[in-house]
Amino acid sequence: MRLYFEIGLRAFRRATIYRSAYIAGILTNAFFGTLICFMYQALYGSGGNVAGMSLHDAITYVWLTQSLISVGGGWMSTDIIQTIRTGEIANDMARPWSFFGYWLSRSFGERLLNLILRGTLTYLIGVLYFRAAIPSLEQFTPFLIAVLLSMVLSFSFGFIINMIAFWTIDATSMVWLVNTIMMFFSGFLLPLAFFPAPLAAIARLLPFQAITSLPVLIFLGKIEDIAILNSFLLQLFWIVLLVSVSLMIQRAAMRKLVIQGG
Amino acid sequence: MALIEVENVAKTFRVAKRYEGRFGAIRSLLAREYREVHAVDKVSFQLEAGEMVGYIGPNGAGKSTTIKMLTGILVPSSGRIMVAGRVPYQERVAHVRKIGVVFGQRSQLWWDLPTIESFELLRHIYKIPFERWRENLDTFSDILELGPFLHTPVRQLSLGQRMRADLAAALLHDPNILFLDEPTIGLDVVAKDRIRQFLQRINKERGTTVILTTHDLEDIERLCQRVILIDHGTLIYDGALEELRNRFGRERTVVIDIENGLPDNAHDWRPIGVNSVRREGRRFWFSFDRHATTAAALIGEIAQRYQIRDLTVEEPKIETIVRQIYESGSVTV
Repeated sequence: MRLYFEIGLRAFRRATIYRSAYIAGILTNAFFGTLICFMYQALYGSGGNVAGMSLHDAITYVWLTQSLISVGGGWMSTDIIQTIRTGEIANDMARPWSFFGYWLSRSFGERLLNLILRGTLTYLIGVLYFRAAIPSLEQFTPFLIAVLLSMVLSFSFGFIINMIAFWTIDATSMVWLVNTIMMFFSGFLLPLAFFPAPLAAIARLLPFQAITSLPVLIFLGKIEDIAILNSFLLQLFWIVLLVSVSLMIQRAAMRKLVIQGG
Repeated sequence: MALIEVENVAKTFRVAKRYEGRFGAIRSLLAREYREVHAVDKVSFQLEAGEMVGYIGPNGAGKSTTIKMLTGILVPSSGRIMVAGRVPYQERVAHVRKIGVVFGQRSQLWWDLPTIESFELLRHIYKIPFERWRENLDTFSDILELGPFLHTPVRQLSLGQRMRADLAAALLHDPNILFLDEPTIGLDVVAKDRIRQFLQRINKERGTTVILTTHDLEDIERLCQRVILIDHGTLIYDGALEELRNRFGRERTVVIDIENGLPDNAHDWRPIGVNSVRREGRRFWFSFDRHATTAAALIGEIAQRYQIRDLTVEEPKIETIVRQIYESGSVTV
């Protein structure tokens, strides 16, 4: 366990080096946050609720999803694919560790910094300029747990997709496709409450809503009391499933291993 | 039992055929056709503990593929590999705990972090006791002069510094076997020399078995008593470096500067045993087969015809020998 903590720690420290990337990231998120908020303000007009969400809810929703993007909510990295393509993976394979565990702790360290720094600062802009909600501690604590669970969940999902690169060289295009699907069904682009019923039903069967929609709804207080526990259980269910698939695909990949370059 | 046993090992890659032309990409996707590439083809050899072996061959000969199979990150298509009583890919974790690997062109260090951070992480990866880790780090820092850049981010290191750091990184956990894939690639003479001295010391003092692939035959001449030569995936020579020179380096060259007054028939004359004669002004190159005549006999014969001012005998360079073998593609030179 100590080893994985140390890996995470280094990933965290490594991420602190790219300050300009952080500022650029925050500005991008704030730009889109602002844009979508203007749109909602125009659409909501004088007031009222849409699908159970007030304008204030919608604005909070926008800033939360923008803040969570770098935590795994709307975007999947191709880090593992890169190491497969460059052959760098040879070094990572020649280590007495779990390959999955290595990448999980690495990604966790990185995302934790994203959450603390990039996420918080982005959300702060939303609070200052659009009065996005400041949650109570009772809402924030389960939200934080849900976000941490979603980090493991989205990582495992990304791991599975990245590992496809063991079988095909063009895995990057696959990532883009899956990213689009994920952004849509996770509720990152649009709250699932706004979906037409059949689409919303599909979304509820997929793991993506557990990545973005569930934590955000907990934050908004739309999921309360015992329902919070159910939502944790749903996340855990997907984690167990996706981690198992990850480990299976890892075993298959090891067997089939083809490393680029002679 | 030998430390490393490689028996009839082969590795065949299936490579998807690519189609050219406008719809090539789509055709490649729909109608996959494969061709087989035999990267390694029935290679066998054994290595004893404490040996230092050069594994050489031209580009694409199958060197790296062999190394990857020995390190357990590539599964052989057929044949048997045993390293220290283990099948590398079956017991990957137990196996890699005992080996060190340096892929010269790919660093194992964390690019953005100070070098020492990677060394510290290695302590946790291999669960090295702190005292032992400290001791090793001090020793390596000393020999490889890592001190000045221990706290510099890896991306700011020169290639020579990075390679030294990579070498230290591969040895912190006292591996029994060290695999080096092109450890001196791209380095200048001083840096190469330092690395060679270090490897020699590690091999001698710690008894670490070293297998290195290289294109720089000076590495081999300086470090290895034994070479294994492969080409097109097949083993074409396994033995002492000296023997390689004796068997394939039969050609010597006598270079002679003569005084003025050339005889008219200088162009046609070719002493017995001489394969070729080249002339530039007053300098002659006589290349001869060491088994057909001797340098002494040849020089005597030349001295009878010409007045010799200066002479040297050129030994074949190991480089030339290996090039000849690569070019002819076989050992039956």
